[in-house]
Amino acid sequence: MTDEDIKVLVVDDEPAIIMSLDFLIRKAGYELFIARNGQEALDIINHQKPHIVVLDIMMPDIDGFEVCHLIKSNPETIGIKVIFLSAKSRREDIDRGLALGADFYLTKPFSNKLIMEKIRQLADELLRQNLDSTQSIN
Amino acid sequence: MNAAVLIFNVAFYLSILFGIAAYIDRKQVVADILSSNPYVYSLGLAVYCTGWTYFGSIGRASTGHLDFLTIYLGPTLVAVLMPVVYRKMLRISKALKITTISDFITTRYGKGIFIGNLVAGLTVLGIIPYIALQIRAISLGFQTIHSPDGSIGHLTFWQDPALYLTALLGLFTVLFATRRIATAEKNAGLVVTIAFESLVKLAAFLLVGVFISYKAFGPGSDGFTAGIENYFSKYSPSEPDYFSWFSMLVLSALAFLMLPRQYEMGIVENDNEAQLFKASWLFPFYLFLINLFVIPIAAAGNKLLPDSNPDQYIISLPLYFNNETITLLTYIGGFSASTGMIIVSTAALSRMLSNNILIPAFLQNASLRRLISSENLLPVYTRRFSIIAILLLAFIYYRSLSDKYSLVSIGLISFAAVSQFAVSALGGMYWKQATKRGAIGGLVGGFVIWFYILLLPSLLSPEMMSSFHHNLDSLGLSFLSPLSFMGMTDIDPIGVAFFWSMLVNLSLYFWLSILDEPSLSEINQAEIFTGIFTYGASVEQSVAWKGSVKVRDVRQLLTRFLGEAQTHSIIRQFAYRYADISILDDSPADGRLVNYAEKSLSAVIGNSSARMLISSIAREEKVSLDEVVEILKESQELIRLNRELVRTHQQLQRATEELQKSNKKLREQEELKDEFLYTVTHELRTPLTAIKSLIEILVDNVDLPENLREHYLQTINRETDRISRLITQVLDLENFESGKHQLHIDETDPVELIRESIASMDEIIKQKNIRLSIDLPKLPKIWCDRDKITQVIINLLGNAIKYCNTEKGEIQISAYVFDNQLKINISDNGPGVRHELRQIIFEKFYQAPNQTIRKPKGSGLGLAICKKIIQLHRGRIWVEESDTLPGARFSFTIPLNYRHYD
Repeated sequence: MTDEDIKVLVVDDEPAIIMSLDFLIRKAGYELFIARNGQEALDIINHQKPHIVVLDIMMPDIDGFEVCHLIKSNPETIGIKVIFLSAKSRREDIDRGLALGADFYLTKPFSNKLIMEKIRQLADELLRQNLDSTQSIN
Repeated sequence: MNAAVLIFNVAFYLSILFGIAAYIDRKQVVADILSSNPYVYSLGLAVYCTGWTYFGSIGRASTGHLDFLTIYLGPTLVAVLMPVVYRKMLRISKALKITTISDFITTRYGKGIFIGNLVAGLTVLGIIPYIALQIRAISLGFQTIHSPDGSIGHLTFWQDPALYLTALLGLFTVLFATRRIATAEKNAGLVVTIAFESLVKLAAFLLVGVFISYKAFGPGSDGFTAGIENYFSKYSPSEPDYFSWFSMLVLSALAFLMLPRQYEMGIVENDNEAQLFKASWLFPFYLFLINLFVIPIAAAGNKLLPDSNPDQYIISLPLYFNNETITLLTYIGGFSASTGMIIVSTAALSRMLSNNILIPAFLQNASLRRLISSENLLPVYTRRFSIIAILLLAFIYYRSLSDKYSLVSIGLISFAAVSQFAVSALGGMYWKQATKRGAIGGLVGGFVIWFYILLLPSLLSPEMMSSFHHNLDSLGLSFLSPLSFMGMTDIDPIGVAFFWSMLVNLSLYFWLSILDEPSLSEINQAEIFTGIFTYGASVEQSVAWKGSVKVRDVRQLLTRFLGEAQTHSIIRQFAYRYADISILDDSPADGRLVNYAEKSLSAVIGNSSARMLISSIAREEKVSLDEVVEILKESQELIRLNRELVRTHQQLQRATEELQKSNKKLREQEELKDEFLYTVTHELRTPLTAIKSLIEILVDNVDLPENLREHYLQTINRETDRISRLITQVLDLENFESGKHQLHIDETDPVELIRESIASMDEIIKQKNIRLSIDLPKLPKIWCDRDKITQVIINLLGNAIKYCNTEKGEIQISAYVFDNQLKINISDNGPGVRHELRQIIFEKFYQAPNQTIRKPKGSGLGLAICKKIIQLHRGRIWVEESDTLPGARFSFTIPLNYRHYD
């Protein structure tokens, strides 16, 4: 498994923000999926099984908290890494997000460097795990 | 019955009590709800009905005397009058944080240690036999069940099951009545447990009553009536003893007011005055129910078991009918009646013993003080010690108690004792002239008579008593003998003792007070006690105090006894109430702070100790009479200013409610404002995020392809516009709200106005290939702000353009006059607006607090501004489903004659 095999899903309803994340994630070499609302995100999660989800919270239909909850309560998707990326910066929101099992909670406006660092960190972790399990099979 | 079954059931019942108390103590919310409930409060008052009620009333009724009823009529009288006398007592106790009847009396008469010792000592003396009586009721019942023929013989004390029960009750009291001493909080666990016990004893008594009536007199009402008639026919002819009836009635009324356990449940554990009003009929109702079956059971017992102990009829009858379940239930009922009394009385007495005797002793004696590691443990230790000591004494008294006394007479001896306090307590509430010397004189006099006529005969053996009587007789002094005091031989000794003790008590109280000069602190307290409804809760400003002490010293003193946290909260409460008084460590303490601290301290360790401690840290100066009068006048003046507000309870209530309401409104507005700011910054953050991120990309990737570069720059540009638009809108809205934007009303042709608005959007409509149909009849001129209405139409039209079908866009505009209003509709063939969003889209807030579902994208503040403008025109704006197109229809109305409204 290499970087290109890592699937990243970006869930956000702001075209301009998707535009920049799209550039950054592709440039880093990962495979990118985009969802503009909660329902779309859930469909992609179930069909594509992304490894990492970058998740906005305030969306027109199903909110990000709910999406994260659904990911973490389904045994098939529980292993998916979740990064919240939201303009909600109150302590209680951050605590809630992390309590739902998210790996990171980043607030908007974000720094490109930071978000990519976090994605890379999670991706490397996945790659290492994958390597370990392949070795143990051999 | 098998003793093991009985013990098992008793143990089970006790574990329920422990369970309830522990649960309530842990669940603050449940505790708060229950302890403020008037039903729970009334059931708590029913601790009045003890084992004596349960067993003794029947015993008394079996002799044909109906005077047991007076014991319930007295409290009924008090209860009905609760809103008067009792409420005053409650007010005083709450305002001054008084927690025992002894503190009540001593506070009124200047907080001396001696009078505190006296009252507490006498109460303990008077109540211990009463507790012993309850232990006896439990153990008698046990013996009756265990060996109905009485073959059990004499038990050594360690074989006596009562010993272990007493120990368990002691443990219960220690656990649940001494838990919150330092914070002087209410013991909700205890209250709820007692309320539960009151329910159990009532239910058991009623059930057993029905059972026995049925079994003894048969199913029909005839048998029942005959049985009761038979009972009355045996006794009725005798002339009722009016003297006894009257004295018992008064006696029990006073006892109800003065009994430590009633003070504990009725005053200390009271949560709000509304509870009193409900209890004033609920409690008498309870008394009525629990007396319902006394006579039927007595009649049945006389008929079927003439030779057994009448006090035990309620247990021996079910045994006689061979019904184990009912027997057990009866026993548990009686057990609950007795244990409730033991627990509450012990808790109340221990408070007195500890606060009025032990703690003052500790504070005065340095070598005693060394026994305790930390002073804030002192109240807990002395309280626990007192509980154990009281129960031990009661147990010893119970073991030495001679059998000749029935349950009722021992109970009445206690009643007669505590009713002695009524003179100085009630007198102090209504008579300003009363003094400490009068109170002490009256109490001592009354108690001497009580001791001589009632307690002495119960302590001496009957032989000793009669030889004593004969000796006096031979000297011609038989009128001095307890058995024939003042020649009153035909009358019940209780009545005699009550009459003479009250007479002596009252006379001494009255004459000594008249002859005495009240001290300044007594004048001060008398004024507060008698006028409590005038002084209210801010009594600390009505107490004259002069002296010098630093705030730091007061704080340290409080910390010594109450701990850090509690002290902090007391000082904070004070600061909250008297915002103008300095509570900085180095500033001199204000008199009101000292009074407040003393009051708070006395709630935990009693008033005499609190007084002693305060005078030990402060250099107190003598207050002159003028100063007392001055401060009373001042505080009365202060109070008079607020008279309008406090004249009636209802008015106050209403005012408070009003205040709460407006407070809530203010808070909500504040919250809404916060929410608005939060959402605005949030909305600004979104474009800002994109801009920042895209700029970072542009900076980090100089080799970006030209078209991508162009694309990003355009996006940045667009997002920047979005920010500036939002800022304009926020300012706009703010200007409308603060009234800076005024309407410039002119006579306007609406058709022209609509056409012009459409014209300014013409280009984009053409660009997007939208089909626009306009339906404008001839319209009358209207009065409106032309520019603002244009802004509304452009905004609505802009939304329609944005949301209509992207392929085959369609928009309809129509206007007509209806009901003196001009109505303008703008429909589109977009997705429409979901039901739940139809209100919210006009709000300036993007979403309600704590909601993550948001208002549709980009709607910004435009509609909120439209709504504001239309509202200023006294019109209405709303959205619904369009009936001509598949999408939404936005409509607004403006009154034609807006001008006339001005």
